[in-house]
Amino acid sequence: MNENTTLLIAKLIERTKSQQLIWDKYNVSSNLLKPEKNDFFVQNVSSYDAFIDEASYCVTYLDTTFFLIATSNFYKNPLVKLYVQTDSSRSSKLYATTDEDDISVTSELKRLYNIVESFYDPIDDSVRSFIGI
Amino acid sequence: MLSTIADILGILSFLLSIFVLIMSHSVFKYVNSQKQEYDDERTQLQSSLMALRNNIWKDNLTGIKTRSKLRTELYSYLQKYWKISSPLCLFHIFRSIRICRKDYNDTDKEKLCDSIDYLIARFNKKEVHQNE
Repeated sequence: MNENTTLLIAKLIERTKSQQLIWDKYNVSSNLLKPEKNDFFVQNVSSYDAFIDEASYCVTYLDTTFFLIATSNFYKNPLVKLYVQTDSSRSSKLYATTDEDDISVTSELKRLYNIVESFYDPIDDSVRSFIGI
Repeated sequence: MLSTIADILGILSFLLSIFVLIMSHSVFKYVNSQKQEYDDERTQLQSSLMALRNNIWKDNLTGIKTRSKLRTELYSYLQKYWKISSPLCLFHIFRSIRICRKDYNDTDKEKLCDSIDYLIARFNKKEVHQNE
């Protein structure tokens, strides 16, 4: 994780609270999230973890899309992962997860997720889909 | 007659001592495994409570969703670790749960944050594991 992560999460929190960013539920079957790139290879995000239904969110800002992906696996508590990708990128990048050692990052990521969950309105989401925003 | 009773009581107290020794050994093992599990999970619990404290205090999220999440965290802690919790820790957990049961005013909100602050600080502390 790089040092921009804390600033990124803080900015996402600020813009979500001021309603500049309106998050939508992310439907896993839409395959909008590109494979994750790390230093060695590109791998599918779902390789090891199972997505939790109806618990992931995404938002687009200019040409950048942010994803909050909720996953679970056999031996860990449910995790939230923050992925970022751009329209032109071939892969997505993992910025933060809730199981890393830096407690300031994990607590702020959980805080962001709680805000997104609280602000999410399924009716507004449906209306936005209907009018094609 | 009295000596026979004394002999029987002596045998019974010997058997009771062995029973208590076995039981205390298994309780000791259980508490140690609880402490180990707590140490593995405490940073997750701590970060969840920090997030919820900021949601309540800074983001003003006081709705049912946030309160329910906080209660779930506290109940799951209680289910797992009440045996190794101090009375003060249990007091703050129950106070938080009680405040979360209804809509709260600013005074209650401050009390709630006070209790969560105590629990966050509590989770800084590692448990001491004694050798068997």
